[in-house]
Amino acid sequence: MLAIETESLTRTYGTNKRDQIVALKGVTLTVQEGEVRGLLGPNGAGKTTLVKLLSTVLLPTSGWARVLGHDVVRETAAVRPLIGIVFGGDKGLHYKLSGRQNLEYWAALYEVQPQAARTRIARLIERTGLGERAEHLVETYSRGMKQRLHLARGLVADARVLFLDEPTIGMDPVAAHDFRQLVRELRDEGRTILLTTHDMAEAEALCDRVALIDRGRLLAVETPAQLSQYVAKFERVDFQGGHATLIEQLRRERGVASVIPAAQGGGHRIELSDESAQRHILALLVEAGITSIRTSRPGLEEVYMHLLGDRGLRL
Amino acid sequence: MTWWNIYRQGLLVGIADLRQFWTLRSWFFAWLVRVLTNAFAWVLLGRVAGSEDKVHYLLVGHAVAAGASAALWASNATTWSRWDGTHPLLVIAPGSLLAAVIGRTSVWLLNGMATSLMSFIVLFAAFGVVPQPSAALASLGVVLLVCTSAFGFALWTGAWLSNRGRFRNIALDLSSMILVAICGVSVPVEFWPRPVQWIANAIPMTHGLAAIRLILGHGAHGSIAWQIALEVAVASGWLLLSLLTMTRLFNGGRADGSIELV
Repeated sequence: MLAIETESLTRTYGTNKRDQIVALKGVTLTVQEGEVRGLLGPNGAGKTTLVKLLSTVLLPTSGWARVLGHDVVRETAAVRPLIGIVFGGDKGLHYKLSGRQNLEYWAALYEVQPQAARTRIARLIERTGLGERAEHLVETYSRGMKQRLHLARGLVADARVLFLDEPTIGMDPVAAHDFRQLVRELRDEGRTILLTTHDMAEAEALCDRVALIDRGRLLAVETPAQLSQYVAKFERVDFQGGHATLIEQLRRERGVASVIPAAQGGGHRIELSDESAQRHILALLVEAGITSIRTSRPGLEEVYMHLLGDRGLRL
Repeated sequence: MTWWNIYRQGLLVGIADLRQFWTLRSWFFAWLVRVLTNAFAWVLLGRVAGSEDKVHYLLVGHAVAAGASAALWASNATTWSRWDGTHPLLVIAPGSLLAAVIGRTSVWLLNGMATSLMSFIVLFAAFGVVPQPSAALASLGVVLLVCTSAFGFALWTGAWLSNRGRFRNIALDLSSMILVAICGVSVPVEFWPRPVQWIANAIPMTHGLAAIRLILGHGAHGSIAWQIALEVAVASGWLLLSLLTMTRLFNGGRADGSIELV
């Protein structure tokens, strides 16, 4: 069954045409139940808008979306009990209440019966490692603890589909690592997770598939490994040393797409366009006396930069 | 049960809000002293004017107005879910958003009731006014009604202010000022031109205050009942209007994007 399905989903802000901003433009997407799907893109790409449309915070301008078969516009009441949403950052919690009181508040709003809520909240507090601090005011929590409380809030109604909007933003590496472990556990329970991030490592570590999104448009949906092949279909060869004649010779070899100076360390990188060329190129380098050679595949970060282009800070 | 549970949880948030403003000590020695100082100033003006009737008129008017003005703080509290970022989460929660909002804001209704009650006790004691116990009890009931009426009005203004948060303090001051000025607190409603009187009759406190004056002045039961009925109608009207406005504006925010505004 499809957990999430959208067709030509569009959202614009502003009423008059001159000031109109298109935040999401004709996005068509499907996410299988039990999948962890990453939404990867720079700030302002439309990731959060997509999450807000799917979680019924916003209404689409055109197109449609379904969550677990329910239309997010016409069947809002059916969608809401099935979903949990976790925003990154400091918003969405009552700082003058304790962690437990926050969860009790949201359990009531998700119409969980008080008896069931008590049991579930105790379990969530334990699971998110907030046990010792559950009775303390949230204002005394660290960023990581707040984020874990956010996740517990998103799970208080036992949501089948979770929207995590940049959940590890601002966390220190240890807290982010722990948080990702929690997300893996949720995936293992069969929950569907839509995770927005601009952290490549996070997307590679957690996601079954990644949707690249930019300027409101969906650019690609692939596994992290498949996406890597967009930039260089086959492996790259990095080497140190080598004179100009060797570089020129390598450029002329069959199956070599490019030979470029490495970003760091003063060596060069050969990008191959034909897998069968690798063996021959390695032999050529060894014959030329090159001893520092390394082969690799492009990471998601390189794909991301390649597809979005060198835009710098421009949106 | 569910509605009540949400209301109860909302009230806990409201109590936490209130604690950010006052402790029990600062409520008595800062808030109440400030309110009483204002009321004393007005009542003493009546004494300067040389009329015990005026003293009594101003005393009752300002003791009631203190509570109504305090209850108006609910309009501010309606906007606070925007600041703490819980507003969109409340809108998309399956449970009643209205129960949560009313729960969180009703602490200011309770604050208004307590303020008015304490104002009556202190001002009556200070100026030697001793009402009959039955009249005092009946007046107390109407004070609670007036505060509820003001609370309904505050929820309505709060709903409009929800995505215009920067105006929340000026709106609170303005509505408090209008209530005190035209609803018969310091001068009779009849003092004002006819159109202003129409407005006064449609907003909280005017009829409730008139009822309290009649109760304490041993007025006709029929007149008292009529004024109370009018205040009940005003309170119900504002409460109903506020619920409709909140539902419409909060859900409308999903279409125009104002749900995300702070």
